[in-house]
Amino acid sequence: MTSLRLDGVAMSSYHASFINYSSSYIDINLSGAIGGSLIVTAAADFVYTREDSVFDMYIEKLDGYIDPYYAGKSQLIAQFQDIANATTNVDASTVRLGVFNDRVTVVIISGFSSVSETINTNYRLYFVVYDAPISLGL
Amino acid sequence: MTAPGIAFYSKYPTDKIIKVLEGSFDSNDITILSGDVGNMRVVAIPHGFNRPVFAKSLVRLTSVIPIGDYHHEFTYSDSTNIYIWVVAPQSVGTRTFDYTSVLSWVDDYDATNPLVPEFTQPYKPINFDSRENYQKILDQDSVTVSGTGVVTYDIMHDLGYKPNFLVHHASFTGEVWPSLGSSSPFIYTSTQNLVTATMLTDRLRVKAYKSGGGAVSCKVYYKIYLDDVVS
Repeated sequence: MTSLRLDGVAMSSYHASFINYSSSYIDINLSGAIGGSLIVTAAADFVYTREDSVFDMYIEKLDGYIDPYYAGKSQLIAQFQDIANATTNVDASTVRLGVFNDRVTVVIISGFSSVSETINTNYRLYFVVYDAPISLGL
Repeated sequence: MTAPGIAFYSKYPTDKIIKVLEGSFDSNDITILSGDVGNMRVVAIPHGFNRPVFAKSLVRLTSVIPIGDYHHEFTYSDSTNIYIWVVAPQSVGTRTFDYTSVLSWVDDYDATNPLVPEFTQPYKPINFDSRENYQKILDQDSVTVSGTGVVTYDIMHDLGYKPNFLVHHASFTGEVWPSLGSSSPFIYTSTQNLVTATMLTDRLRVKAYKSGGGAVSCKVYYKIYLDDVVS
């Protein structure tokens, strides 16, 4: 196996790079009562063609409920704590993102908290889906 | 012609993937990190490098939470391991979880760039395809954010749009943790460094703090890509 230096090299032919397979967004509205389970399913068939893609996600809160400059947020599903923070104190571990072949599902489950609150908030979710070098074989 | 619109531009480096880890774990592999704030449950997986790496992880949590098979999971690293956060510990039981973690390079970590073994994965032997759009890095660096309370630090980019970005920070010395949005649920002690990141059209804004308040001094690693979030 060859050992290489990576600094100063724009692209290494011995190392794969992230391919920006798809960049797009979907708008979702979270509305309803948190206290049981709130499930929001948003069509995003232009985003996902495989459910095993590595991706980054950014959240933009459209109505500036708390923070008027609230802009694109960082990556990973834990970002959904932002949604929780914007509305209630639901523990972040109760907010999950599901990915299917053709849609994205947001689930807020309050089973770990005693919070009960009605919410109605609009969000834009940006996704950057990568195409390399994944072949999970799971 | 603009740089974001083409597959590769020699002026801007791309992320170098240095390894892909695949395997499985179960409840016996979980380590509980305990502190004054609470517990975090993680699984340590050796990465084979002698310094931290950036990691993105997919984990299959079949039937634990009924919304799908594949989940991104919070992953941080130190010089020996990556650590994948395990959700819903009360549901883990003896279940086996499959994972895939993609590791990329932390440029100039500790001001060094040692030799890295080549990594070519077998599924896609062609590492460059001009038809694809590669993630091109406009700027990557590290800064130390210090002060008292919530300390804001702006990194200007002047792109005029909100580009993709990744931010990590040293939550503890020698560890590289992903920096998230307005706050982080990944905390178990009030003395660890926390960093949030927000991208604006002209700057990347990071905020460093400790949940217990007081002085904070934290190394922050960032990457700003050329690509717009929506192309």
